[in-house]
Amino acid sequence: MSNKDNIMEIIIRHLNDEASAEMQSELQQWLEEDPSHQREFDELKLLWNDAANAALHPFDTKKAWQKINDRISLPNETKVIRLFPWKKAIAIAASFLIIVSVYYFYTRDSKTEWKEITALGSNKSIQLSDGSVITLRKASKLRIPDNYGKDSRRVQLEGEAYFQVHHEEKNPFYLTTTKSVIQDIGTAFLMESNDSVEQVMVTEGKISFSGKADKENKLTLEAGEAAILKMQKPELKIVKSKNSLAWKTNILVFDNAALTQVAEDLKDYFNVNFQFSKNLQPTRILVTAQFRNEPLSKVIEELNLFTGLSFRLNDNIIFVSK
Amino acid sequence: MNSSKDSIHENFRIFFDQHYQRLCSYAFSFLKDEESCEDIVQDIFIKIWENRQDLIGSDQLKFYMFSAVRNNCLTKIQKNKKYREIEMDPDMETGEIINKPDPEEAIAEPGVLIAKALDLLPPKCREIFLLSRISNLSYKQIADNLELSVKTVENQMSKALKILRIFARENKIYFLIAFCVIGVKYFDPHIGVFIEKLFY
Repeated sequence: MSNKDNIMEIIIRHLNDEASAEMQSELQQWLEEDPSHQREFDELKLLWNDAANAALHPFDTKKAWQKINDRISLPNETKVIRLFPWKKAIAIAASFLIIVSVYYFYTRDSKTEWKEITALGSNKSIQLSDGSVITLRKASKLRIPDNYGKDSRRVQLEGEAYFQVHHEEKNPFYLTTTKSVIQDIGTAFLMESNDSVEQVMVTEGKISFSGKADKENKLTLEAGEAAILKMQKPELKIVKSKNSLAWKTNILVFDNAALTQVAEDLKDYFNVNFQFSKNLQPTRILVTAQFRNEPLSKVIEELNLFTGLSFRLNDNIIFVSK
Repeated sequence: MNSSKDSIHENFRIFFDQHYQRLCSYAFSFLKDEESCEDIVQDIFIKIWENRQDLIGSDQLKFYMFSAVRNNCLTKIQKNKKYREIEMDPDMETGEIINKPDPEEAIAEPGVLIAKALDLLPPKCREIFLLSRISNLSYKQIADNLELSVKTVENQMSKALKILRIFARENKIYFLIAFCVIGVKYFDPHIGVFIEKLFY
């Protein structure tokens, strides 16, 4: 073996901390022989170290650890994802409503008589004298004054309803809830008002939306926009799901939606809970599907086909696993 | 709960901290797809936790992990031919792949340039060199890992460094090299044919 190859081998060993004492002294000798040797050695060492850095790619260790740690410290039980406590919210809203309405009926102007419509077991459609149609979601309440349309058009809502308002420029339509006021500017919109959320989504035309306490602070919303009331102030909201109206249309559309979003929409529509097994990453599973007035069993069957996952319904909870 | 369980968890976390990026980077040298790399590495970590807690805290874990990552990546490549396959041919001609420097690239950082140079190494040489630089495993462990002899590993390591050195000089990566290009001419015959092309 030539001397040159030999020294390279020693350098390679030295760089990896594997050189024997004998090799070390040989290297030392070689380095002292000639200043160019030292330069050459420094050059190789720089390359050695820089190559280690260059070979690394940016990966987020911290984030990955959180994920791993979640997976290894979870007990064998699966995790319940409570997306939206619908039943609870309704219950709270209902009791709240009773208090508010009792208070309201005792204190309001006695001249106007209000008719109260409650959608009990199913959604209810109401056509008003001006041609406007209001679809009340199950368990929601609408109040309409006897003199509706005479010199004003005002209704009150508790719960969720879809409004298709006949536009009259000189006689605007007002919707009030316990917390907010909506004035239509020729429109169709979805209003959800309960104890936990106060939100509106416009599907056609325009509305103005404001908190009851501060009616000057109005937000004008156009078709496709949604807003929520936060601390009595209207705030634009990003519409995450196209399925807000599914309860009325009975159509659920998922276009590359994450399984978590699908679960959220199905939960709202069918009033079921979802439980994902711990080895799933439901945000990464994308679903493209359309359901038209299909029963839950059918929806589950189709999801199973699309995703290859198992969906088991038990006591109003759907268990999702591999 | 109990302290031995806690200390295993702590050792696991420390190992994860020190090696996650390295293991993913190693996987990346095969798959070139960050998400698959992370999936593979994370799955192996989970498997270690579930089935091989005895390895946690032992010297063997690192060796085991790098082998597992390699095997899983190769399996994935087998399954999914759309990924570029890594060829294992030590005698592949290397001369023509050493490119002339692009004047604009010459001002780039050494790290960026070397990353580029690593891609120019012949496949087997590259795999050995990358594994060594990413893992800091001993030559013996690398040899065992890749089912090669220690001699082959050392030879390929030398070869890789020599090629990188030519690239560094060509691109004037390090200032000190600028002064000694002429002085090192006598090295060339030992390095190989392509050196002569570049220097004479």
